[in-house]
Amino acid sequence: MSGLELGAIMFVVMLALIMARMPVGVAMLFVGGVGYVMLSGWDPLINFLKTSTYGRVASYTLSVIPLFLLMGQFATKAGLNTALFRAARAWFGHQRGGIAIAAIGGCAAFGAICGSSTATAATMAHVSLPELRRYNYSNTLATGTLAAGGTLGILIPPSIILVIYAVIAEQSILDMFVAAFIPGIIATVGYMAVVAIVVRVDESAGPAAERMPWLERIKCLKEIWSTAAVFILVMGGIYLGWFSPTEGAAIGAAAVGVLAYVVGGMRWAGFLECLLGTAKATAMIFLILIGAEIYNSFLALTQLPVELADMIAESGLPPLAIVAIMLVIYLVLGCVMDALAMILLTIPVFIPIVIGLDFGLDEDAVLVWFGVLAVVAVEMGLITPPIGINIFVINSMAEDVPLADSFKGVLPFVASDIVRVAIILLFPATALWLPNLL
Amino acid sequence: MNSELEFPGASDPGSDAPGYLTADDRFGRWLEYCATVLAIFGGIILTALSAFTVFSVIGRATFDSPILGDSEVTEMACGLAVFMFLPYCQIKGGNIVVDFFTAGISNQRRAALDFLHNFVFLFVVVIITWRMIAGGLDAWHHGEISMMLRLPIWIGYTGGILALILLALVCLYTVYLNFTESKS
Repeated sequence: MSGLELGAIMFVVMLALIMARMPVGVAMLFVGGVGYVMLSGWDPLINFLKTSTYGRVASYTLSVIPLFLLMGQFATKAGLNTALFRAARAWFGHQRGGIAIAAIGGCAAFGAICGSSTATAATMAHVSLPELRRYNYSNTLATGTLAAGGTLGILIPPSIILVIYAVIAEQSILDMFVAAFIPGIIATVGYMAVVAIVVRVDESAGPAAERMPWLERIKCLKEIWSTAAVFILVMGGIYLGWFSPTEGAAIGAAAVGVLAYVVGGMRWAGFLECLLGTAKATAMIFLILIGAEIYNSFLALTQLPVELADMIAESGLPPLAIVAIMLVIYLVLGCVMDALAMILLTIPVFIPIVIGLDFGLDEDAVLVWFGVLAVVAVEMGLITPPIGINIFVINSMAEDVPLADSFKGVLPFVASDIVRVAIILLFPATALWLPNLL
Repeated sequence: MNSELEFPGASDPGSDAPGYLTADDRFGRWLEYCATVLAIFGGIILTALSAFTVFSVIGRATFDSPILGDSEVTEMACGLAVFMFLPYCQIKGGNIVVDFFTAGISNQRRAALDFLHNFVFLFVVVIITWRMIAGGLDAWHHGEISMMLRLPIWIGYTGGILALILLALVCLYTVYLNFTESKS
């Protein structure tokens, strides 16, 4: 059997195991290990394993992941969500659908200090859901807004998925963060536009709240200084080269931890909760990273990615169409699969393909642009039925809302996501303009 | 019977994934306790590292006196923390699983599947632990040290191996739980 055939067969076997509820990381480890032995034998594998696990786990670049996760956990305890939502509400609340628009704005701002999507959704829902209900927002709009708003956490830097993409694609984390900035703003504006359209179609969906006096609005702005300060400190420091992304994450975690203690009133119990939350999320990610290390080594041995890339480059299909097909694959996989698992499974195969296509850009630019596209596409999986983790999170917080209503509510936002993917696909400058400027 | 430990913060309200394990025998509770304590310990290392980094960066910026080899400390501390988190995640059933295709099957069948998967996991963890012991011994014999601080690499390996042994025990326990569950 050629390496190519073996690669293809093992890929199918792995998908089957994953579909049969084998943990994704374990499936990658197992299938990758078996394939490795079949291609190069037992001795090379056990030699490789001597250092590969420790090397993957104790890596300076990847240290950024647990630290950003810790920062995000502290952020959920720092009481920043209340201030952020109140400020956004003071500015937008009096419009029709204004509370929902404010919730989106709050999510975007919270996403700037929290790199995880479900945490953003849950934390912001905690403060904004009661308000949305108090002003008689429809169930579909209220839950849809928050589930979709949560996905901003993954796109707006810091973002765990962007870090992982950067590591696999060998791009700088900073470039990825900067590149995702404008798409993040497009996402926020797009979601706000969705709310505005929904409330114009169905006037009862989102009634306007009372107008806040200007003095009140300014006062609310002052309360969000800490969030802004942390974001500017961490991102600005990384961008200006004061410190590395890992150091930035550590400083951010320390700063938000202090905020959680001082502003949020976090004490020992809350602190332990943060640590255990970080532990779970970190271990979940690293098990997959350890698995991906073995699986991708096997994949490289099979030559499958390279051959596939050659085949596709010679197929004569237009490059944009090929990237569009990949994005559709993400969309379909996203219905049933976790975002991180999708990235780790597909990127090693997709990257050689993308590099082989001619977009009139240099290789690094193509990889940065494709990374932003991929993250936007996998992020949609968080809110597409039947498995939309964000929807489940929000729905469990709004107990009387039927799940079907939440899925219905999220559809207009999915439409906005698709438009956004198309914009970034057709205009790579949306992602590349800002990094080029630096 | 409620299996949650009397541990402040042991419940995880931020997570929606229900742990599919209920450790309600003595060995299970003991394992859960160990995994939780180890995870907290790892978290404290991580928090301490954050504080350390703040001082390191401030020192570099203001007094032009960086802490030499701080990245080596970061690397090893984060690595240790990650290893320490692994058993906790497994005993809480926190690993990423695609359960869409198996949502309709009976609990026994699901437990039977999980039995197989956790058995594979156990097998893989045992091999990885064995290889890491070999790698750690290599590092010890060759006296491998980090570049700047001359930190012995075997320290990181040892911590990782201990955590992996606990992970193997947890896997063994989940295999046993799945087995009894699939028979019930």
